[in-house]
Amino acid sequence: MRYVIIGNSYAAVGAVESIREVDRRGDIIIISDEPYRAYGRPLITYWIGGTVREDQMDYRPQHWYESNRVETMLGRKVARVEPGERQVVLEVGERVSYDRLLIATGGTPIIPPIEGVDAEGLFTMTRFDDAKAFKTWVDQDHVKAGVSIGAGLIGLSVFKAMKGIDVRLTLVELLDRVLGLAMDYESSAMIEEELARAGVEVRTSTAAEAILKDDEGRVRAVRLKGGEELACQTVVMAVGVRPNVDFLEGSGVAINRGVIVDEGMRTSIADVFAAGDVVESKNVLSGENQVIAILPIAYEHGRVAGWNIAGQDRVYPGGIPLNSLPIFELSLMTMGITLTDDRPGLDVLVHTGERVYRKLVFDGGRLVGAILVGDVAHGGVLTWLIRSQLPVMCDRQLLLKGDPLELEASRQLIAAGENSDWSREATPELPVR
Amino acid sequence: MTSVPLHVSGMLNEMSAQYTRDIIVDAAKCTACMDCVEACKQAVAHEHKTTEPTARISIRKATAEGGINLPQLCKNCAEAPCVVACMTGCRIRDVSGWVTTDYERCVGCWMCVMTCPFGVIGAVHEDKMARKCDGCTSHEVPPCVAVCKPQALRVRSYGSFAQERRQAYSRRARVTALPG
Ligand SMILES: Cc1cc2nc3c(=O)[nH]c(=O)nc-3n(C[C@H](O)[C@H](O)[C@H](O)COP(=O)(O)OP(=O)(O)OC[C@H]3O[C@@H](n4cnc5c(N)ncnc54)[C@H](O)[C@@H]3O)c2cc1C
Repeated sequence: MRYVIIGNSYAAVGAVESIREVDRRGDIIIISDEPYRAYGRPLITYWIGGTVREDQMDYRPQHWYESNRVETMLGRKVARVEPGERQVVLEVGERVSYDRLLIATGGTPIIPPIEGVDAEGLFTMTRFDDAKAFKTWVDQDHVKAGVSIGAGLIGLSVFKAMKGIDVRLTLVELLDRVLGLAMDYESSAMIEEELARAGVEVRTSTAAEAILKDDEGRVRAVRLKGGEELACQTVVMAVGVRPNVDFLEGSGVAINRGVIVDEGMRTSIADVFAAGDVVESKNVLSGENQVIAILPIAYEHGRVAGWNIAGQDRVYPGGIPLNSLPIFELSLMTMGITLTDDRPGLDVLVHTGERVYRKLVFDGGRLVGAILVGDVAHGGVLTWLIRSQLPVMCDRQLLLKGDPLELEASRQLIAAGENSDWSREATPELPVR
Repeated sequence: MTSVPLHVSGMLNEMSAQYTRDIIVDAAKCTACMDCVEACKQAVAHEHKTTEPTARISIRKATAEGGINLPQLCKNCAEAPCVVACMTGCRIRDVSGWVTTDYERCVGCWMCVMTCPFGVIGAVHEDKMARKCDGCTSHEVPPCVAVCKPQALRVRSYGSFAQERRQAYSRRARVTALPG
């Protein structure tokens, strides 16, 4: 059996670790256009800030590829897939044949079609090479100020990076608050306060209209809607990512926004599987398929795809949106459904304290979402109550306060824990370890 | 493209992982004497760079209304959510079979704190470490177990597994040797 995996990140690693539980003999070939061993992708901004060294970026131990007998073709990009021939075609023209194929190509940054996006000094921030190019640029001492277009997860991560390298930063956000897709007004306000304290300027409810260049084609300013210009020497484009599916055109693999897969991560084409940020999969809260681009889901997809690609029949039970982003001492988490304004019928419980905000969202007897700022204690318990959709039996105030969880709550913990093992739950007949 | 020979260690690890350490909690026996908590604090002190060490085992005490004392520590989940959610890969099941943490590489993203269904991972902000019980796998017997007089905490390891099996054998041998 010859397994070919396109992509070399969380989903790919999960798949390899599953395949090798089932099949020790088959060949595994990983193809990726990035020239690195799998690394912690979110760490790229930590690396810029100097808190993580390059040799600490590896996601798995050095011997991982060898121990799992994985061949790698790194620094090579797949141009297209030809399921009829059971081959993938690399950009350089080389062909690689497969028996079973896994598409784990993740996401690619969205670059809005505004004037000047080709300016020198403008970067996206999803790959290690992006971070390296950015750092090289910023290390030249002409960079005094930077603008991040987009104040979502990646935009805020960039801020953290820039913190370490002494560049004045402005976040420009189309929505009326930072992390607006997951945070409500109260919690965003706390984050904005924390950012202000760190000297970061936040400009919400405005759009970047153009990137202005100097005579040599380098970033000189960002022009906002209304004409105001923010002088800067670098711009990070962080308005979002979309599934990396362009190379699948003409392959016959069905695509909506992301690759469409069944519960076992199979695409519409036989022997072609997909996992990670590139696919749409079940959100347990809506029951609908959507792209939830976070790494735990990518890894879990990979696990399920890996087992199935190697001949088992397991089911991915679905996931929920999650965010965790510490901003200095202020930690924040969001899980599940957090914005309730246009969703009547949900009950909201809020607990506030000195730099603390905890909000729980209930739908009848079930917890469906939470926002935690400042005090993230037992966030995992909430996550599992949301994901498992078990009825909440304990005193809701105990969950809200988070700490101390008394005996009643711990009983609930145990009930939640019994359902925590998603892989075992999905396929009770298969031993996991 | 060259293929590299299959590493035997992978196979061995998987086999041994099934039999190595597990800390079994027998809550009914717990007297909440807190010896385990103290022992834990000392054992993990060296991993705290700037902060006061905190124990990675806690005891939810029985209340006036009743209940039992419940020691809480890492359950060493099979498909461990904290491993799944770890962005750096510093949290991984090691050869002992226990899910352990390389704190040198932990950046404090709290993804694992957000996904641990038992709430037994704590965020140590100053040290940027998501601390949890790592099983003290370098000790023959974990310090918390060693000090637990009522034996509310016990270990199952490859060794004790074999021993228990021998004892079971001998018991059975005695039974079957009995006349009638
Ligand atoms: C700055 C930043 C911070 C983040 N923070 C968090 C966080 O805190 N928590 C969280 O859960 N998630 C976070 N994420 C998201 C997380 O990194 C992704 O969800 C995760 O990386 C998805 O993994 P994946 O395996 O699906 O794909 P990816 O990690 O995107 O990897 C896909 C790989 O495939 C390669 N590839 C794509 N197309 C081709 C082709 N045609 N040929 C060859 N190779 C190809 C790509 O180059 C890439 O190496 C963050 C992301 C970024 C960028």
